Amino acid sequence: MMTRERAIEILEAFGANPERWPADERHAVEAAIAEDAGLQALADRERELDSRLMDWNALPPRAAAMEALFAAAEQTVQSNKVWSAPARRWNSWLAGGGAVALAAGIVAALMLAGQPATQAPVNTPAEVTDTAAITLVFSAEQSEGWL
Amino acid sequence: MDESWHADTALMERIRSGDNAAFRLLVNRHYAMALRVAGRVLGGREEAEDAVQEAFLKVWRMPDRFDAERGVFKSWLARVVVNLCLDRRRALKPVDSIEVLAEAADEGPTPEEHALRLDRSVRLTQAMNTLPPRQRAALALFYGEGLSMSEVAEMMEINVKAVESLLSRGRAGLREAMSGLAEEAAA
Repeated sequence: MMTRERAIEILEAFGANPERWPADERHAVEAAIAEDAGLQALADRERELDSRLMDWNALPPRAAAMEALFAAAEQTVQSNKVWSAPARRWNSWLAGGGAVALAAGIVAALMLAGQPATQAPVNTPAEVTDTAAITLVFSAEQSEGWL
Repeated sequence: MDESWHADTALMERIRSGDNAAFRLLVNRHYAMALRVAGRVLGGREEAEDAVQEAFLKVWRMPDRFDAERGVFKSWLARVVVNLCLDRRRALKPVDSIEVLAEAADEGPTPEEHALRLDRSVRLTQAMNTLPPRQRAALALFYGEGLSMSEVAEMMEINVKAVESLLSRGRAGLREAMSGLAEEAAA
């Protein structure tokens, strides 16, 4: 059931063009306006505003702005690449033998560190335990060079 | 889903793999619509172009944000543009130069007709500037783009009753502002 109040709400929200009214209320609003002079006057007022809204011009695109956008996009890295690129570099480094080289380097360092020091004082036996060797290999001084 | 949906979805697939040519095609398809909406919500050309650029760069940078199963690209893009414009509008003073309006106003058949249209356009824009940004956005989408209430509701992420309320208050505010401007002009 279309009430006068609802017809007013529709005219004031959507204007006087029935095509812009809610489809399920369209016929009822048209019927209400047809038999109510006050609603007809309101429709005329809203039709005037509809006409003014037709003057709401849109900005035409400028080629320079579009070219600036394309240039900006070419300088912009896609987020999926930002996140996946480090992983791909890490994976390719592993596949390229980097891990094998690192492991070989650690083993060689351990073996060298495990040999008795030739310049060690006689009264101080150069007893090198595994723990000491590992400490030597991973000392802060040497690690700084790797990092 | 229509041909446009398939075309946009195919372009977005290519954009996901970093295809810059596909991005250009997508921009060419939707730039004018995005600029119309941004221009109507923000008023000024520079701000509108900046907002549209930001929206499209989001598309380029984060193409996975668009889910073709959940809707058409145009609606999703319009939603991004509207949100960016509303964010910008909060920090923006209403400044519309006459030059911009003159550029946007349609040419009339005679200089007098053009001047008349420009005058009407200036007054409408001045009246629009008095409205809150969300009302402007609803009016831009419903009247400017001719979208349905449900489409506007989807783009603004509100329900249809809220759209109706924004349109109603927007029209009332516009009528009042234009009436005030007419009185000022007559005085």
